Amino acid sequence: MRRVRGVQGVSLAALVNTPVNAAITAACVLLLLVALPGLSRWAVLDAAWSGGAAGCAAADGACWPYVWEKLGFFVFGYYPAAERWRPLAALLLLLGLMGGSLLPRFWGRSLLLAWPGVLAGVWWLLGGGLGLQPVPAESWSGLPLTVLLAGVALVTGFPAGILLALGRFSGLPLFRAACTGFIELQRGLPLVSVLFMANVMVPLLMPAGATPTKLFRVYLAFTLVAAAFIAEVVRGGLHAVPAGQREAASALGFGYWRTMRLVVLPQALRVSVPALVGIAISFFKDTSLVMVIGLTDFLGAVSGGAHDPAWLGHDVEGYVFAAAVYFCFCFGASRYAAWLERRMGDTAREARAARTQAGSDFAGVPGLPAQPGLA
Amino acid sequence: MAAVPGMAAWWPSDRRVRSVLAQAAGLAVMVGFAGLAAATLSANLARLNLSAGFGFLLRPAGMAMGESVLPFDAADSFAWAVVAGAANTVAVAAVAILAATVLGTAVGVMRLSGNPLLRALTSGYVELFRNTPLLLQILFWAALVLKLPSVRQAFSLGDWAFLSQRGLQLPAPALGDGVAWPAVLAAVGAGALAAGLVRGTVPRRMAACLVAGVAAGVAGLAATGALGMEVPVRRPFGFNGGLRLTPEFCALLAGLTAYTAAFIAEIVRGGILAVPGGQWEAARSLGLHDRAILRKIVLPQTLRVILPSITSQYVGIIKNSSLAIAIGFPDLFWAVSTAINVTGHAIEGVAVMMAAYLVLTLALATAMNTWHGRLLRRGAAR
Repeated sequence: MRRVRGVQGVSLAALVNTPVNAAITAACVLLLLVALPGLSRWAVLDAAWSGGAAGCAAADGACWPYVWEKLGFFVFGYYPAAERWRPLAALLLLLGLMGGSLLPRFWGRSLLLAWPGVLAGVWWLLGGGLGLQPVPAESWSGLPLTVLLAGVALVTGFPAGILLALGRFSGLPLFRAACTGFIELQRGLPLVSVLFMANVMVPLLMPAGATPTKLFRVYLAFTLVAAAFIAEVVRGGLHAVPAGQREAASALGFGYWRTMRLVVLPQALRVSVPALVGIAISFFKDTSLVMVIGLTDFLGAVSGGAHDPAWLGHDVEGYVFAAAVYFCFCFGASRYAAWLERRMGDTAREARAARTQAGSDFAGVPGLPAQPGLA
Repeated sequence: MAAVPGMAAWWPSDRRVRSVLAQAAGLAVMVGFAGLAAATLSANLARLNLSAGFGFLLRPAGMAMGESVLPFDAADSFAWAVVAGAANTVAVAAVAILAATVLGTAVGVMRLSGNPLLRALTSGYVELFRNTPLLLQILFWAALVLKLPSVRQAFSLGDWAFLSQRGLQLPAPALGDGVAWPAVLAAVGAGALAAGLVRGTVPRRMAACLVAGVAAGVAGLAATGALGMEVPVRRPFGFNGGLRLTPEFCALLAGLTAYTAAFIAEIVRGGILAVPGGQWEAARSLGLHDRAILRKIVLPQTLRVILPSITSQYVGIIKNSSLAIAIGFPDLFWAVSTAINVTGHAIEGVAVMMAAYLVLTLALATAMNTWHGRLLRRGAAR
């Protein structure tokens, strides 16, 4: 077939080569013709770009000065305005640490030590003390709270999740039943209801006089749920490690914990990383639910900003801005997970190829299948 | 047996003894924690002068529900409020499951289309809706519904359905006197017939006769005026007649549907790609065209692969419908949390909430898993 090269290298033939295809193309173009002019009028042509609230009242379209004017509130919420450099520094520290954690070249002991250190620093920056003016936890809000909530819940939920997965994977019926029950309970309940339960139940389960802050109760709820979801991913990874690995370790005289720590978990965790990134994405999105029990995270600040009497009726613009911010984080992370998965597939294939070429390992022994790839 | 290096001398080497000891220790820790929690809880309850017990569920609720599928008024009990809230949850979740399945399957198939424009549009949809929080989407839809025109300028579809800031007004089937029970029976019969057709236990010809009979019956009823469509009529400040979906219901439904459909689309796409290419080639060599291959060969096999993931999306819809609280739709979570705030019975309320959500999610998951098991068995028998 003669190929007609169209705009940007898209083959025109792929758009109109059959009657059905041509009809599909026409329908898509029609949809775009209906949607695009209205959208672009609202977002660009008829939108107000300057002139404050008065300029917005005169314009028919979106009110972007509202977003610009409220940007500080959206990002930092009710944190004292004079101290905003502190949540900004905390946010940059957290994002830098997360960015670093994404690169396989930094995976190691130092990263494990960096996390608690940076979290302690962030705690100090936000909470004050030691030379900084103290800020009560009730005022921590906005984007730093969103990132901190997701980060702390995942970091504390990770070891708990590994223990839960080992419990569900173990041969001891009591531990298996207890861990299975806990995991399925957390996964069967809506996150909103878990947050609500933590909010009303934790004070009742604490000894008299100890009143945990709302932030602590939310952390507790998120950590428990994160542990349950991480446990299921890690369990998948444990199943992917061939039983021969455990048997070989046991033949070398390794006990249960040494087998798990040195042989099974390193392989299982490596396989689970892409799915763990998926969990991180969904937790980053789900931190927005704290709004329901009265904490002001990034989405809470955006939706609260719409109640400002000077800027009524511009909530949609705020939500579009918030969606753009969430999208950048989550889409970036999902691309990263896809890249990681491809890279791990490549590594496993290369390792297999190297093994076969060298004729080593079990590749040539009849009756013993070559080790399946990790990814 | 010689001492294993790295193992303490006091730890017995017999595997069975070790496992019993470890479990006994675990049990002791769990019982200890539970006892401590129970003791603290009862001490706190005594200190706060709170009584425990489920008796409050039978007291009149005295709360108003914005909308309800089941009849509810303030004199009804808290227990009935929980049931009515659960019915609202089930209603919105059922419609969302249906809509998300249709939209998600369509988008998933379209993402594999040979048409680059269609592929780009559907990919954009999936990425946009998967990568933003559901709560944000629900708030966005709720804000958008309020920006719709008033009743006077409502968008109308041929004067049959109206979309305005008062929600969506749809035509609804209206029953005359004395046909309610036959109508219910006919609906059940139609459902059984559809199920039989899907499972292939009803012969085609018999099914055709039954369908024709039901159609003739409906036509007869409609001709005598016993069965009709009630079309909404526009009034200055609202609509008369028909089925009204409130703005909150519409926003929640739109959010749940659009969000979940994006995930279902990815699952469907992955499932189709998981069917080996040889299946396509074999079917093509038999002379089938692409759409027939998709419908008769690929999608049935896809269903078997994707059903577990689809089940967890459905369960997710039930769980996520609790976000209704953010826009004021009275669902199960709203009913229980309001009851707790009014009566102060936090522990019992939390127990009711957990039990109710677990019943809903587990019932759905069990039904779907049963279906999946049946599909797998039938696949194995072939």
